[in-house]
Amino acid sequence: MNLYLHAFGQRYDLPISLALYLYAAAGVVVISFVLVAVFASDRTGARAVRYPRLAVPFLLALGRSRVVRAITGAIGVLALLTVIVTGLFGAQSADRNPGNYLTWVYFWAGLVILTGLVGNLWTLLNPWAALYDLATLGRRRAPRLRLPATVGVWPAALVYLLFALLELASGVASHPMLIAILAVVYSIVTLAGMALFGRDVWLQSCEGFTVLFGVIGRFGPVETERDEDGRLLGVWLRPWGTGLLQRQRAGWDWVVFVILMLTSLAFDGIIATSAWQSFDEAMTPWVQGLGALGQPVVRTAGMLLLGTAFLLIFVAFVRLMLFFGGARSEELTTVTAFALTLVPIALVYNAAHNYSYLTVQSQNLIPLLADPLGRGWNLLPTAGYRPSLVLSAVSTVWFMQIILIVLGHVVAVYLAHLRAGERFRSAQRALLSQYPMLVLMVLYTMTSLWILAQPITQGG
Amino acid sequence: MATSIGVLAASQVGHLLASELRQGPRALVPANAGAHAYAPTLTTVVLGITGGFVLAALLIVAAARAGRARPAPGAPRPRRSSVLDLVAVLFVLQLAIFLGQETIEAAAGGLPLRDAGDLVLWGCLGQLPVAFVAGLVLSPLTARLEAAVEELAGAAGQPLAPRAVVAAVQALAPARAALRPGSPAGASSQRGPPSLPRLHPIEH
Repeated sequence: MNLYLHAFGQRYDLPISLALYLYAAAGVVVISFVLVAVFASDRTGARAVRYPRLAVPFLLALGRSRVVRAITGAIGVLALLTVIVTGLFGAQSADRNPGNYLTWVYFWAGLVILTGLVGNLWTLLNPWAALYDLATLGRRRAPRLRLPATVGVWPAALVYLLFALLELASGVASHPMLIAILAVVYSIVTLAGMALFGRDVWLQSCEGFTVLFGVIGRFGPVETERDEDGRLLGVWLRPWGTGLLQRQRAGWDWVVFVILMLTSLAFDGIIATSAWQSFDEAMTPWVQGLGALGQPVVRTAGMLLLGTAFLLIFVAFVRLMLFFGGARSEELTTVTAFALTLVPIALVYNAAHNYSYLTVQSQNLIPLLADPLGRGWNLLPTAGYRPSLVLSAVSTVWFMQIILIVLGHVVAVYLAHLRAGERFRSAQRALLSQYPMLVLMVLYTMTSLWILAQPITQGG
Repeated sequence: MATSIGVLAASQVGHLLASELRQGPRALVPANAGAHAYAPTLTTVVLGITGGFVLAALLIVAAARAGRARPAPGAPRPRRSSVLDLVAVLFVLQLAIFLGQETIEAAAGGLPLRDAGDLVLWGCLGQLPVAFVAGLVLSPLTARLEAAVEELAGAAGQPLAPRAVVAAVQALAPARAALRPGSPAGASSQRGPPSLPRLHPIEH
């Protein structure tokens, strides 16, 4: 039996046509654009991306505390060990294995959303950083090898892609033992990488999850500043999303990383649609010779195809933006800066897509805590727990998805507008440059909602 | 113009590729009937025109090279537009044409419109590889063509333009000065806007 990531098991008859929902959502995005243009279009240059922040000494003390770091690090290590131990020695059916819930529900879906809501918790929970710090007693060691600066975050993007393909294309994502083995291999590679190239260099360039949570954490309301040795210098609170306006090194590696985030989430939805089913069937004759590898190959190709299409569409629209904005700046800098404004879309799409997964499936871990290895133990009085379905009515799910998707796109429109104010010469040019972005946002909104609607509605 | 033809041709090749991948070798058989009846003719004509354009472009580049004795040392290479930009623009336009074409075909044939997701998936699959190939070919070709056209135009215009134009302007200058009442002949060389007729107050 598989752990169905986004299964609803029931369908919902929309009270009105799906097309009306799509047009209404697009309309809200357009109206938000008008409001942004009216109320926030006068700022240009560095002033456009300035945001208020509030120093929080309490959080600074908390972040510097060794006790807090030890506790959070221990939680991260414990979670990693649970995945490995339950995967190797526990029940091999996905829905009876706590490691599977920890990996796919709590880590891959839940922690991403929590990071967006709260801030980058991964810096505290990262088990590999905690193990490395424990081994070195928290001292920074000189790296033995030097990672070329040109590497950027390409290795992290590759790790992200491979992890996404493991989930969506491999067909083996719900095999606990395989996940455990991969966790062991990845732990060895990461620890060795940190030892050879330096802790922070490896984490910031090659560790896919650190880069992922770093990007998502920029959306969060907590801002931190560290010195060269990683010591915390200050902690501030800021409005959600504004961290994405911070200066960012320009590079295709960052652009590709953000596009991969969007792609993996969209692809996760697309493979549940009837369009994908017919695509998959039509491609079957071409991969018949590959046997069991056929479907993973088609899905991998599909995800790469979608990612490339997303990237090209985004680049084409940035070209249009540069044209309308009377390009002042270098193209790559602009592409990178605007790519980060797509992060809210990835975040809300993640929340919308995994909504029922997080509100219902996550609760299935509770009874498993009584018997994590499936040996008939009764360690905790939770064995009889039954998941609450209060938040899982299909209509609730659908309306939450609409709200989240529209909200994310409105935030993206706002951030892109501020970014345009920074990058283009005048407020008028900045506004002009945002018309292509508006079209892109409307297309994204309608497409995202359409994808989300497929498994739970009967369409309209 | 060349890019428009390139986009149209690439979109038709992408259309053909998508059909081929979807239906296998029988893709072209149903294409000859019903709503797709026009497709083979259109594809052939557009590809023929594109081939003609490519040949003409290559001839122009060759002519420019033949007329040039040797490239000046350190002369700047023709500036290429970014391949990625070109591929991105080609892909978006090709996909838009593909979606429009499929919609019109369905409407004309009285068939139900295919699912939007289905169209986009097949559109991407057919158009993306073609956009890459077209971008890789068009980027250097357009750069060389532009440089060649500039070179040929420069070579053809250089001996004619300066003397003839200066002579014509000089010949016209006294005549224009003479036409302006009350102005000296040399006034035409003064810069600035022409002076307005001065109004004198009427004396009673």
